[in-house]
Amino acid sequence: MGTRAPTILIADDDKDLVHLMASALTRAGYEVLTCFDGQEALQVIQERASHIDLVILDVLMPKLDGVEVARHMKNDPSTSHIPILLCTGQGEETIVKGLDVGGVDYITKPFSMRQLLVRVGVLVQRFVRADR
Amino acid sequence: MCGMPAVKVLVVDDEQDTRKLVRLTLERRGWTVKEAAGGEEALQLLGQEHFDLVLLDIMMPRVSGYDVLQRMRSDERRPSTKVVFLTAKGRSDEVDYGLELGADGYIVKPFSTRELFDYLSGIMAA
Repeated sequence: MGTRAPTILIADDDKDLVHLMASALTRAGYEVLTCFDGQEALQVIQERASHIDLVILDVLMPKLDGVEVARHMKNDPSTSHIPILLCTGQGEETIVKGLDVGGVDYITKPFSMRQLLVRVGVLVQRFVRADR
Repeated sequence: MCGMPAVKVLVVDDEQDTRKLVRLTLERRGWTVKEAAGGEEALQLLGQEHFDLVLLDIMMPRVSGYDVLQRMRSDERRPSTKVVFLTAKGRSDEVDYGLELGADGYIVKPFSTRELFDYLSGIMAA
């Protein structure tokens, strides 16, 4: 993965799922940053935009939902470049809304860590390496 | 990072998930990591073996991170062990107090695994 592994921020209110994803991604060689609600995630993303290469956003979160976080990110020039993978347990409507505000892909719960790693790998190839 | 000898770390946190993430992150870089789920367990392990670095959560039931650090600093057998606090965001009073007690540094949660490693490498190289 070169000298600098991509940093992935994971935001989901399901703590167990966050840690499962964090472990899987860390084992695969990525750097991670974990958040448990939308407000915290947005704040961390704004503060450390230059250190975050990809954001995995749960659509349904307390305080600020994933769609709102994505909207804020896309409206702010300092965070608009960061690709967003949406993580959703819901139907078509939420997925469409999430993609509409700037998500580049989505993953439907429940998903395997194998599927997560493949999707993240594709996004990193597409968005992260090209920037370097 | 290259050339630094393997660092032996004790990570003390009552949250298992945090310990695991720290362990995965540091072991990937060749460091050796042991875990303690609380202050008592940490003190017990510190009495048995030498660690180069202790990562200490502050808010733990019964024996806090402050208690562990105070006990460590009053024990002359362990002067070379560095101590870094793990603290929740926005608690600058906690940080100040920890540094006054003799901590070598602190990391604010939520932290990225890269920041964690870079920061700890800096502390160990100092």
